[in-house]
Amino acid sequence: MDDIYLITILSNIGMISFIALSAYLLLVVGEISFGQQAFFAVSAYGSGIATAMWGWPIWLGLLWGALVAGAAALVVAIPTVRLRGLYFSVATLAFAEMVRLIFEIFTYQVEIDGELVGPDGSDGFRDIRAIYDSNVSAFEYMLIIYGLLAVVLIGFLILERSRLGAIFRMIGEDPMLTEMQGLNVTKYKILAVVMAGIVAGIGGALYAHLATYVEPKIFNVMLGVHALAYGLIGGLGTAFGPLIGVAIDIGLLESIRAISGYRMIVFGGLVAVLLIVRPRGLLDEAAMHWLRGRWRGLIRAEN
Amino acid sequence: MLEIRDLHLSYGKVRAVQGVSLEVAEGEIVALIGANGAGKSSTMHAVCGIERPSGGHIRFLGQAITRMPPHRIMRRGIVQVPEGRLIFGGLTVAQNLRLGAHNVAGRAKTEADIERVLESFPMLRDRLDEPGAALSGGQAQMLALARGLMARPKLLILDEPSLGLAPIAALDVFALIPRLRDAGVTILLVEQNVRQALAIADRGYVLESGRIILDGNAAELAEHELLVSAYLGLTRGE
Repeated sequence: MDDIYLITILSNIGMISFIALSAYLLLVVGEISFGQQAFFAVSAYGSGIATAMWGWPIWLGLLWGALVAGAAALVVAIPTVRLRGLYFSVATLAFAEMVRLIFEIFTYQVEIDGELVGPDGSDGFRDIRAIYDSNVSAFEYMLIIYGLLAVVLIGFLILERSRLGAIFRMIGEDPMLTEMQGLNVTKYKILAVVMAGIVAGIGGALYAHLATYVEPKIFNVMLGVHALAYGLIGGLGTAFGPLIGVAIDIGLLESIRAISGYRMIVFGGLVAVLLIVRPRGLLDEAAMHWLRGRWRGLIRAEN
Repeated sequence: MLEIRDLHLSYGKVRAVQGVSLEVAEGEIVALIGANGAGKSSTMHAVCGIERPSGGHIRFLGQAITRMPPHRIMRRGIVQVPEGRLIFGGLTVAQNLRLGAHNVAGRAKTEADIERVLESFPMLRDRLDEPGAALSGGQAQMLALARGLMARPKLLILDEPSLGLAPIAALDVFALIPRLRDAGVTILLVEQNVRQALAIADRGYVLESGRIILDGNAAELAEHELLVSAYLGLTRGE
């Protein structure tokens, strides 16, 4: 196993972790979205357009991509968050497919140095070369990915200890009872969808610049289904849950060559077994409560 | 304080509430009693904004609250402790309490309110860091009541607070309600446990098939022959 192979796998784990966290946030508020790949896609295109066509610096392109994804999420959230359960899932799926089909016909190209650059419908969007043009190595880019992932993860951990995080969990448990506490559930759900859109967007922007080429079919429903499954495998008790899910899928299943051909079968089986044995994942709320108790006990013993 | 006029509420073709009118004055304990499916919970849901009435008016402190969203009704001072769905099991006891008080401004005030509320619920004090799911049925009901009080309600609606509780835990709940009233909270008590509800209430309304069939002074209602035969017959002379 050479270094580049390892760096590629780690980079993939990092990028997919964003969309896994995105789907996880919505699972926490009790909504199953099959459409987080749409925000990943919107940001991949948006940030690519910003850097490759408008000549923006990478950091601004990433920020732009995430913001466009957040704006798209707001547009989706307003009509859909009042939907419950299956209806919300179907609406997000429909939206994501709509986005993918729009990118299949979306053409917007400009001539740069005698070459046409920009999205060209189903032929995709080539030459998003910003990181290569600025001589960022694969290793350095991996550090950028993990730096941003660390920032987002710390944000999630702070959120989970905050009042907003508790409100999200309340909504996930019982939206009606939450509303009875004087909380505007619709408003908080819109906030959650927008936050999830931004998080998925960061991943999409990072992806577009590492791959240098994006095409609509990458952002199909399987990406969204995986994103959901990561939280369900790893656990809904902590933001580390979806990361464990990603690590299991990409780190183990995709990387162990012996099972590479059967990855989807093994992965599907794993999801099915876990949903029966541990419906809220490995690190579910009860497990996290137990772990926190042990941790407090350890600290007390130290002192 | 609370005034319901000619309230109607339907679920599809099922007319759950058909012209209910009732009043609750400040400082009262009013019992709303009736059998399962009589329309008690539907009436309360309309008051709290969870269900949209198909007709009628609801006023609170002189202002119309009909068809307002639940969170806004709650902010005006009507807090419901709903039936069955009591507490957030995934949140700790302390979080349950803190979020009940979310619209009472100021963290310092919230912490002081928790202290004040825990004086009435000493059994919760040792369990603040435990998840709500770890509590027994009686403790969960106490937590739901305590959380309701955290919001400093003007009117507290208790929907079947004794439902599913062991008899001793139910006695604790019924003993607590008059103390809450004495502390300045007006109470609308929805109960199937007619005798115990009327024993602590000032007035009562009896609901049957979506209509009020009897109302009046609680002590008189408890002796009313219709009630005695319909609801108290089996337990008479115990």
